[in-house]
Amino acid sequence: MPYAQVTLVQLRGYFYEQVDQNTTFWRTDEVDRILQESVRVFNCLTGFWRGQITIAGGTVAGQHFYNVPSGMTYLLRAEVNQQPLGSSSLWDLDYGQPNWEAESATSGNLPQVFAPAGVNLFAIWPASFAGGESLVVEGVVSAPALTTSGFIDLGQDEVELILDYAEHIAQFKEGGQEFEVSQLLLKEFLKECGERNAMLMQSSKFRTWMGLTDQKKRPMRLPDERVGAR
Amino acid sequence: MTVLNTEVANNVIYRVLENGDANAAFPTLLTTMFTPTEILDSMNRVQQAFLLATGMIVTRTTIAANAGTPKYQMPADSIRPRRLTWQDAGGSIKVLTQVDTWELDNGKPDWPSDAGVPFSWWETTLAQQQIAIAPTPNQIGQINLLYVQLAQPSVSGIAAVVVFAGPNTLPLANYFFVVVKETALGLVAQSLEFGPLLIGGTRYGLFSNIPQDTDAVAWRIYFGLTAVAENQYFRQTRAVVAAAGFTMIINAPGLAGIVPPPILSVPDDWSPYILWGTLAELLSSDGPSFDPVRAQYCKQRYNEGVELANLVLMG
Repeated sequence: MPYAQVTLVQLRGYFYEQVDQNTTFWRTDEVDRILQESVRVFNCLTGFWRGQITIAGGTVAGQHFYNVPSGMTYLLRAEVNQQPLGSSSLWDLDYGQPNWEAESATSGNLPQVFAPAGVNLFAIWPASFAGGESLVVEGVVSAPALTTSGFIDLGQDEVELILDYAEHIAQFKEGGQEFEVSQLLLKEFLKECGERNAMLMQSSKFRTWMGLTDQKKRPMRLPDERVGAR
Repeated sequence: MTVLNTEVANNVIYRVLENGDANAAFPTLLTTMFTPTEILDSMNRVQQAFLLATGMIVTRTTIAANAGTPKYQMPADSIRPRRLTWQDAGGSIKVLTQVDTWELDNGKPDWPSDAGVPFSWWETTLAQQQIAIAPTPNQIGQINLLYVQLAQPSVSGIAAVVVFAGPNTLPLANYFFVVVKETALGLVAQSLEFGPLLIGGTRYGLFSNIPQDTDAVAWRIYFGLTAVAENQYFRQTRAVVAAAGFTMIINAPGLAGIVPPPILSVPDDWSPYILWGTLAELLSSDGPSFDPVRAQYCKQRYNEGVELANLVLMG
């Protein structure tokens, strides 16, 4: 069941509270676009909006590749006839099961693994024997398009995060110190996203952008003794 | 994919303060610091680079392979092969590993003359859009190709349509226009919307600066009475357009047809990273708009998108 707590108008109002109600420098149309970008980036980083889509027609006998349904940002899991498929990659299949693209399940058995090939395509192995089984994919779906009618499927606890990011990118056009200072908001936003998506914490680049250092906490040698107060 | 090119362009306008005291309405710009063409061209380049760097959108096709033929042409819209497999006549399929000619020269010295079941592919010393498989196949088969497709670019640089006095069988009215490029792959790119312009009766419209792209087989001008709802089009082959000095004239009703929407080639949620990449390019360009600090920030945000895409696609 979707959240019914925040509307775009409310979100816009919260944003203006953070920028001193300056509706001249940040026009309503611009704020709506900033908020739309904020929810999209938040969704990419955390996979916040998820959904399940049944692929029309289900499996096809002997077919290994299937299109990811439109509206899905990226795939997380898949199941055939309500049996979960293991997660794999094309590389693993290519080098672990070299003839996989020519292999089909035997009668009475189902495909076992799925492997994303891009955000628009995925493969299953082995291919369905007879076809016609239900094929359901679950994953991150597109962030909601913000409109002035209805609620945004977003909890109150995530609003602050969205607003921090929105405030940061709103400062971009100011440049200078205002923008420089707002970089802290971006770091905090990324850190919070990292807490929701452990995959980000595995990336040294993301850790750097979050302001987390990979340097040794204990130096290899102590600094030289110096005269004076220490 | 539903994000319009103009959505990104309007965001660019806001971020670089080109809107003035009005809502952003690309291609209207407050100053001459950037031109609409620069913004569109930059967006096109960034989109290609993003798709290339991430392999986010892939396309599958097959290439028929002959015994004794090692080299094959890639599809015209391929910007990067991602994965090749060899399928023999019996239906067995094996992945081909990418190698380079140094590896082949030193690891399998007789490879240029050897024939057998291919196990690798290479492109290091070949012309663009060409790949080769090694060893040379000794039987017919099929290469299954997974590749990154060229993104749908926007047509830019077309001079605004000019109205001239002359016969026109179209009813006199205000029309909107969109120029669309047609290649062997179909309708692949389109311009921004022009208009409204009053033509018909004794007034006709002339489009100048139609791009000279050699891959175009024809150009279409969609037009209609309602903005973003052009409902008829006029089509001319590239040869005819070239003979007319890369101009096209609208002086008669067209065929029924609806202009395809100019959308980005990346999924909606990834569109902010195209915006940041575009801003990075624009703010890095020499001149009054040069802003290395913010350009570097934008580049970092673009790189964030590439890194994230690689993380989620890794599984």
